[in-house]
Amino acid sequence: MGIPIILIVEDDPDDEALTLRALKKYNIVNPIIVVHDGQEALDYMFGVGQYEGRDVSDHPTLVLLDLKLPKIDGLEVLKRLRAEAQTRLQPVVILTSSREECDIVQGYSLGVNSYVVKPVDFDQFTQAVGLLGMYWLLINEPPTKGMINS
Amino acid sequence: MHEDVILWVFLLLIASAAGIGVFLAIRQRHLKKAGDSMPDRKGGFELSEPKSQQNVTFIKTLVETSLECMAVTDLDGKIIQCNQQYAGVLGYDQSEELIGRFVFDFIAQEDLERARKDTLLISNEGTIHTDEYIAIKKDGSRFNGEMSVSRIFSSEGQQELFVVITRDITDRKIAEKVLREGDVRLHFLTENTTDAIFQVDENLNIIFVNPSVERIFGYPPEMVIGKRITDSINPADIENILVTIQNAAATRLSTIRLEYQYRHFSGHYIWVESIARLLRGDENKFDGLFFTSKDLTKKKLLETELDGSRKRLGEIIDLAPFGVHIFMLEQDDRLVFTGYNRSADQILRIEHQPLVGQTIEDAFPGLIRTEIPAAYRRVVLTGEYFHSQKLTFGTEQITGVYEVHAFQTSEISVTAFLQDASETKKAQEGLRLSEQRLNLVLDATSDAVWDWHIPSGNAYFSPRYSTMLGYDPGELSPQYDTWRSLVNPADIEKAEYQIQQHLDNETDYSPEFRMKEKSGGDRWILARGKVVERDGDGKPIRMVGTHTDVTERVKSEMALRESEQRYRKIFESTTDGFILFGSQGQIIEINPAVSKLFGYDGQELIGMKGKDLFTQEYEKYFNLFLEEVVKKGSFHIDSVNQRKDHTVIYLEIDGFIFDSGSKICLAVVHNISERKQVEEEIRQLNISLERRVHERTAQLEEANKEMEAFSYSVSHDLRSPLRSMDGFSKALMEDYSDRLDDTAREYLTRIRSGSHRMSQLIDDLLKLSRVTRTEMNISLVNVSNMANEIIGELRASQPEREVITRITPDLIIAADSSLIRIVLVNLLGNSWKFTSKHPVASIELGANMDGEGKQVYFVSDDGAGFNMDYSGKLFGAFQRLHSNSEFEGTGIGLAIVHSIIRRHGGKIWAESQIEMGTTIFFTLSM
Repeated sequence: MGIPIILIVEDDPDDEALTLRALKKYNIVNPIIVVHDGQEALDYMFGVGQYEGRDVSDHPTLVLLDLKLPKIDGLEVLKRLRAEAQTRLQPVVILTSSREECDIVQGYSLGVNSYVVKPVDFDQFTQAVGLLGMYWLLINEPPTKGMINS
Repeated sequence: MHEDVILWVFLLLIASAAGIGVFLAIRQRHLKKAGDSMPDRKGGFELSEPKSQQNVTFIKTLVETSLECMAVTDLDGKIIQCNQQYAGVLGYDQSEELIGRFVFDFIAQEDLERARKDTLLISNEGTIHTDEYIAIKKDGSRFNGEMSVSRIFSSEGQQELFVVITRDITDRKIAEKVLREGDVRLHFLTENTTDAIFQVDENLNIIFVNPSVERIFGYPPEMVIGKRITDSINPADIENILVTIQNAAATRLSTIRLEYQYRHFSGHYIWVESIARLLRGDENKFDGLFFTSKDLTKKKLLETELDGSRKRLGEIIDLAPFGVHIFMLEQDDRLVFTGYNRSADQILRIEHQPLVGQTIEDAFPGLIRTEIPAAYRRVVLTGEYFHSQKLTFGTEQITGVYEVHAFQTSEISVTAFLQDASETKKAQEGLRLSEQRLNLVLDATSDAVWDWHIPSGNAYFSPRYSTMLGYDPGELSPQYDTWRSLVNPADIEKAEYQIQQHLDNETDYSPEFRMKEKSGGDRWILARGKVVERDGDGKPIRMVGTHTDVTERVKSEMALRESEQRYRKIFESTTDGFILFGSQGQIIEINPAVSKLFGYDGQELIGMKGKDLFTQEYEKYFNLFLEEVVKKGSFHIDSVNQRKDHTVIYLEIDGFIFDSGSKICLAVVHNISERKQVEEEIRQLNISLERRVHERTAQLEEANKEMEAFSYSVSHDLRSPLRSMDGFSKALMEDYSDRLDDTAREYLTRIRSGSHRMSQLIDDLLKLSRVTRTEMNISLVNVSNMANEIIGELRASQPEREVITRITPDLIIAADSSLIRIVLVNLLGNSWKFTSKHPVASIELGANMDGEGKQVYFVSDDGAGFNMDYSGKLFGAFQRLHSNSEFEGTGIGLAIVHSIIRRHGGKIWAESQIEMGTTIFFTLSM
C-alpha cells in the first residue's frame, strides 16, 4: 500500500486553490490529484481516457466531490462509483456550497460517506477542510485493496 | 155418451202399452171425469173424438191388435170378443173357440167367489180392478193369473161391457217361490246389491240379511238374524208399518212401499225407503216379506230443506199485501175452500178459519150469484187465467170491491189473489173531489202545479207556484198573462214557441226560463206540461204542468261553463304547449302555443305523427315516451325537437295518461331552449375556465420549476465568489501582512465582512423560497406548547436576560407544524431581540375573538417598537426598520412569516409604538 492519495473533484479554480491551501495549512502533505469535471473524475477512477493505464487498484484514500460540475455532475459520478464493484466501497465526501435539501437527501441515498457544506467564511472553510483531511487520512480506517477488489 | 167409450178405449190403449201401474195412476186422476154429474165438463179429449159409428169396429181393432191377452165380455162375463193372445194364455188355438164362454169358466173353484164379488163391485162402482186368481187352462192345468177388469160403455150408451185383460204370472210366482227358497242366483244378486235386503218370516222375524245391511246400518248379520224387524224401527213409525203390512196381506197386494226411520248400530236413525214384496206360500198365505231398503237420509234432508222453503214461502205469502184463497175441485165437482193466507183475514175483514172445508157456495154465499164459482172451476180444469176487477162478495160481512187474479196451482186446485179495489177507488174519487187534499199533496212536493184553461186564459196556480217566486200563496192572479209577465223578456219568445209547438204537435214541452221573483231577482224554472183536454175539433182546451225551481242547478252549470271557459282560455293562451297524442302517436289536438312553438299554421299539425316533431336523433325517444306514459301514468323527458323550418328547439315534455282505455296521452310541452342556451354557455365557460386553470397551473408549475432552478443555482453558485473574496482576502492578510498597513488590513476586513453578510442574505433568501415551495401537511398544533419550547431555547441562549413571558395555554390551531414553528421562532425571536435593550421585558402570546367571530392570535412585546408610518414595509423581504447596528438581522424574518400566514389563508398585521412595544396579529383559516 502506497501513500494515501486525495482526489479532489473541483471545477472552480478559486475553490481548488483555497482547498489546497486549507489542506496545506493543516500540514497534510499527501499526494493530491485534482480533476476538473465529472468525466475526468470517472476516467481517473476507472483508468480510462487520459488516465489510460493507471493502476486502478490504487484507490484514493479520499475523494472530495463537488456537486455542480461540468459534463457529469457530482451525484452522477457518485452513482457510477457506487455501481461498479471496484469503486463501490470508495470513501467519498461531498464538499459543496449547496445546502439544498434535495442534494443532501440524494447524496446520502447514493451512499456518500459524508456531506460537508463549504462555509463562505474562509476561516471556517479552512477548518472544515483541514478536519476532513485529518479525519479521513489519519483516523478513519479505509477499506483495503483486497476488500475493494474482492 | 160416445165420448166416454172413446175415452176408455183410449185409456185402455195406454194401459196395455204402459202396464197396469200407469193405468191405475191415470184412473185415479181422471176418475171423476167418468161421472154423469158434470154437465159443463169440456175435457181436452175432444180432439181425439172419433166418428161414433166406428166405435165397435174401433174396439174390435184394439182388441185384435193388442199384445195383451184381452177379451170383451158382457156384464155377466160372457166373452163377446177376444184376441189370439187371450186364447193362447188359456191353452186354446183359436180365439173363436172362446166366444160365448164365461171368463169365470177359466178361474179355479177356490177363487171363483172372490172373482164374482170383484166383478160385481166393478159393475156397481165403475172402477177398474186388478187381482190375482188361479186360472185354469183348456187342458185343466192351473196357472197364476192376474186379471184386470174394467167397465166400458158402448157407442149409444145402452150397452155396458167389460174389458178383461189376463196375464200369466206363473213365472213371477215361481221366482217368488225360488226367492223364498234362497236361489243361488238371487243370492248372488242380494249379496252384491247396494240396497240393504232383509227377509222376514210371517212373524216379521229377520231370517236373512245381505252384506249391505251391515254397510248401511252397521249391524253384523249375527246381531240381527232372529230379531224382529220392528226392533230397530223408530217406534213412531212402527204402527204405520204394521198396519200397512196387515192391509197388504189381507188385500193380497204383492208390493208395498214403506218409509220409516231405522236405527243405525251407532244409535242414530236413518231415513229408509223399503220396497217390501209380500211373500206368499201356498194358497196365498202370508209368508213373510222381502225388504229392499235404501238410505233416504240425503233425500230426506233435501225434502226437509224443501219443506223449509215451502214454509218460508208460506210465511211470505201470509204476509203478502194480497189475500189468498185456495179451492180444491173435488171428484163430485164440489169446489172446496181449503186454504187462505193471513192477509186475507185483514183484506176481507172476516175470519177464514171456520170456512175451511166448506164449498165455495157455503163459505161465500154472496158469490153464488156471480160468475166466480164457474170461473174458478174453469181455471182448475183448463188452466185458464181468470181476472176480475170488480169482485163483490155481496154480504154484510164482506162489503168491498176486490180485484181478483185466479190461477191453476195444481191439477185439482185454484188459487185466487185478492186486492181491495175499493180503497184506491175511494181515494181517487176523494182526490178528484177535494182540491184542498190535492194541494196538501202538492205542498209535499217542491214542484209547483199549474192548470191552464186555454180559451179563457184562466189558470190554477198551486200555492208552491207563488212561494217559489217569493209571493204568498194566492198572491199571484191565476192567469196565463201573469205567467207571461213574470217570465224574463229574453226567454219568453222561446217559451211561448215551445208551448205553441206542444199545442200543435204534442211535442215535448220542457223549457227552461227565468221568472222574476217578488224581490226582483230571477229564478230559473224548468217547466213541464201536457195538454189534457181537447174539444171535438181537436183544439186544446186545457194544459196541466209543473214548475221546478232549477236555479241552483243552472247556476252551478253556468259556473261549470265559466270554469270550462276559463280553462279553455288558459289552454288557448298559455305559452306551454298542450298536445293530445292518440295511441299511434298521432296528434289529436293542440293548443295555439303548440303551433307557435313548432312554427306551423293553425291546425296544420292535427293528424301529423308526433315523431315528426322530434329531431332524427330523438325520434326513438318519442315512442319510448308514449310507452312509459301508458305504463306509468306519467313521464317526463327533456328532448331536442325540430320546428317546421328544421330549426332546433329544446323541450321539456311532461306526459300524462289522458284516457287509459284508448291510450290517449296529454303532453305538456315547455320550451327550455333559452335555458338550454344558458346552460350551454355555462358549460362552455366552465370548459374554458378549466382550460385556463390548467394553463395557469402549468405556468405556475413552470414558474415553480424555474424558481427551484434559480434557488439551486443561487445555492451552488452565488456562494463560491463570496468564498473566494473572503478566502483570498484572508490569504492576503496572512501571506502579505508585513507589506500591508493598517488601512489595507481594514479594507480587507470590510471585504470579508461584506461577503459574510452577502452569504447570510443568500441563506435567508433560500429560506424564504423554501417556505413558499414546501408542501404543507395540516394537523392540529398546540402553539402554546410550541411557544414555550422556543421561549425556553431563547432563555437558554441568553440566560442573563430578564424577560417575563405570558403564553395563553392550549391554543390549538390547524396548520403545518414546521411552518408554524418558523412563524413562532421569528415572532418570538423578534420580540426577544427588540426587547433586548430593556432591562426587564415582557412577551405575550394569546388569542382574541374578532368582530366576525374569528380567532386572532397575537405576539406582543414591550420592546423598541417602530414608527407606524413605515408599517407598510414591515413584511417585505429584506425590509428593515432598524439599522444593523441597532438590531442585527437581514429583514427576511417577517417576510417569511407573512408568506407562511398567507399560505394558511390568514392575514397578518402589526401595531406598534416606539419604545412602547409591538404587537403582531395574525389569523389562520385552516
